Amino acid sequence: MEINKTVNGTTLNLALVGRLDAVTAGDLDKVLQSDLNGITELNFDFIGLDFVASAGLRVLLVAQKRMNKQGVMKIYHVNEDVMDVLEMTGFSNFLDIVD
Amino acid sequence: MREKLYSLWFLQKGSIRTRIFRLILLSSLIVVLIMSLLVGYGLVTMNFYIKTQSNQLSDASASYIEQVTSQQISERLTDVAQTRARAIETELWSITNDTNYLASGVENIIKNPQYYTERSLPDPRLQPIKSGEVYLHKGAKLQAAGLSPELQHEIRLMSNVKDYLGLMAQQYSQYESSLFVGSKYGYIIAADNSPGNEYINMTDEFLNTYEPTERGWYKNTQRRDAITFNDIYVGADGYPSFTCSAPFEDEQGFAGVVAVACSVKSISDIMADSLVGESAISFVLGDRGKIMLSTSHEGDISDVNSTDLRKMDNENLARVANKMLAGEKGWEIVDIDGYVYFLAYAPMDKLHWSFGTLIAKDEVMNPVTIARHSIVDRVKYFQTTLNGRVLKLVFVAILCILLALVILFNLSSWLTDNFVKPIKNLTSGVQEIADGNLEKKIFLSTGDELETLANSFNNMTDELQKYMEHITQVTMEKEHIATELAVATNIQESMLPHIFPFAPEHSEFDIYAVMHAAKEVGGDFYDFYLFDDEHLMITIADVSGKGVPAALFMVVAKTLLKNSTMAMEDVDHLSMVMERTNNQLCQNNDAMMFVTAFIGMLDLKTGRFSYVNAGHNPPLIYRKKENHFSYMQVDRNFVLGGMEDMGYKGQEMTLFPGDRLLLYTDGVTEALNEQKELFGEERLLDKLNSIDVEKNSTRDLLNCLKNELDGFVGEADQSDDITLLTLLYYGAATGR
Repeated sequence: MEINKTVNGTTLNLALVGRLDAVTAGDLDKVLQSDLNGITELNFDFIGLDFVASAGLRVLLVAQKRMNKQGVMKIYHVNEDVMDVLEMTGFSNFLDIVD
Repeated sequence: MREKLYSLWFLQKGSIRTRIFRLILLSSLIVVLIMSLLVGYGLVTMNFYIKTQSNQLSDASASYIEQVTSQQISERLTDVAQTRARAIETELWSITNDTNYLASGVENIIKNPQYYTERSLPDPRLQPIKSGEVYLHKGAKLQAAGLSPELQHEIRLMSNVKDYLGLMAQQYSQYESSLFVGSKYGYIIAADNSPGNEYINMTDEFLNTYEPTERGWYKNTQRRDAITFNDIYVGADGYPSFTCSAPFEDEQGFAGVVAVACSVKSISDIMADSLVGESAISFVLGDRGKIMLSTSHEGDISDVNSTDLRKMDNENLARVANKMLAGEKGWEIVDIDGYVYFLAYAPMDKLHWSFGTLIAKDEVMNPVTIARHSIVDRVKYFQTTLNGRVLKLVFVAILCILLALVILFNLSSWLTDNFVKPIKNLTSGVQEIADGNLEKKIFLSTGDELETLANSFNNMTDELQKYMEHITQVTMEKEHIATELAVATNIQESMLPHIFPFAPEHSEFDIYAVMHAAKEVGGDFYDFYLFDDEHLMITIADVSGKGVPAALFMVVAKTLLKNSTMAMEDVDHLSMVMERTNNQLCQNNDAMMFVTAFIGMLDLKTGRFSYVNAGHNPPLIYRKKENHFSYMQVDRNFVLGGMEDMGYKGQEMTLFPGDRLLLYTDGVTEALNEQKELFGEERLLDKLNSIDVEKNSTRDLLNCLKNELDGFVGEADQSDDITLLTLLYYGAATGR
């Protein structure tokens, strides 16, 4: 999976390309742990993301919980497969998914 | 091209020793070859140069000798010609003087008879005449005619010339000579010298038939009316005899001729002395182009040749004759009688004669030719010697090269061995290390890269040893962990109900489940147990992630779920079970693990099935009357452990006898094949519906599905835990 990171002030944009599974979730976790300090707006771009596994969901959950404390988190361009997973697991209920 | 290059001998494959050996040998051979070529080229060039130079040298020296010799001989000849010309002229001039003196004496008598008395002279016919004695001889005509008194008087007066003749004859006494006065009256008064004889030998012919006025000397002198040198004849003594004659006159004009005939041995000697070689000829050329004297008696330049030399067919000779008579001196090269001669000449000015001496060029040049041959022979000998030396040198050089090759071969071999020895040591050392002896140390002291390499190998073995120790330790730890994991697997497996058939005393249902962890332990779990005699509880769950963390969380989740369920006061409180479990899981969940779960409770009597889905994949239901699997409609509640105080909504449905439930985790739908394609929910549904469900028990159904899944995944790695649970509801026990 590719993680394309752009920082704009206190805004962190992360564009994910590929599969967010048990292996790649660790990479995203590291990025979030190191780069989330002082960030008030976290934007995920899922346009290139094909698949999210439960480990990936966990990272999203971690991010959401952290951003709940220091700002907002939004997810853009979620494709149908990923949306299915998010809905099935109930994540779609409390993640801010922007169409 | 490359193959061709590598097929060359020195690049062919072989050990380093062989290659280095080839390289050294080849380099040395090339050097030897180049040196040989240089030496060979030098030898050939030097040889050629020396040959050319020596040929040129011999030619040049021979030519120089020729030139010098020509110069010398021509100078010498010219000198000879000049001195001899002068000497001969001196001789001849004295005769001329004598002749003139005699003529003036005779004229004095004729013109002044009053001073002279009559005298008588001996007659050779009557008495022998002594050498040097003046005598009177009458010619044949006078003898026949007799003497008139006037003539008698005349003769007796004329006899006074005796005083002149006698004195002069004494001067010529050592030569065969004759001094005489020939009168136009036909008598002569003469004095003859015959050295060594007391008397003059008079021939009968002379005594009886001699007519002075008919003789050539008389006639020539009379015709020319001047002092004349007559033709030379060979006198009685064998020497050439000159006759110098001069006319004398009386009152009537020409009256006779005085002559000095002299066998001029001195001139002959001078001529002979002037000869400088065997082929040499000396000659005196008269003022009329006739050869007066010559040491040769045949050919063009001989005393018998009476032709005017200036009119000879031999143009060169004629030209030289003209020059000679023009009073010039010098030298020329002329062809005479088919031979080439040096001809030097000098004038006799007083006589308008010229003296010439010549010598064959061959003779002159003979020493030169000999010298030339000698030089050429020397040079040839030198060249032959040189060739021999060069050949010897080449031979020695070839021997040296052969010797050098042998030495080179051995030296190359020795050098190569020396060079390769450390490499061999290194190789064997490394081989030993490769065979596992890490204690092996390679000691090289070559001071070059090899030593560095050896040291590097030693360092490497040290590092390897450390690494091996580390690996051993790690491996031990890993083995330890693996052992522990094996135990953990065992524990996890034993935590899941794994004894089938489950609750065989209950004929209302059949249940079967499997869990295939992607690693030793998994995050998936299933559970089923009888809540009471009439209710069967089934659970399937999937912890986020996999492996040990997931397994640990799974244990907690499973325990909490079961405890919570068992603590349930009413069977309809399944959603409360979820809520409670969620809150419990959220506590102390720093790792933010969560679990998706599906729990359901089946009323074995009625078939009522109440369930709660917490973010889990929707199970499949098989309706017997439809003979068809379909996905259950499930509410999408949030996962467990994600966020506290979440609400969970329960649902319910009714199972009819023969209906089945199939629960699975996302390890099934998200299984990837080698093309990274998802197995997917659609395919799962299709596969299930393609199975003849009625003929399969719960176990067989799962096995079938598992086989389908394995077939799809193929060689790809299992990416996630796979858990399957299937429940077959037979209906209430009494119904059977």
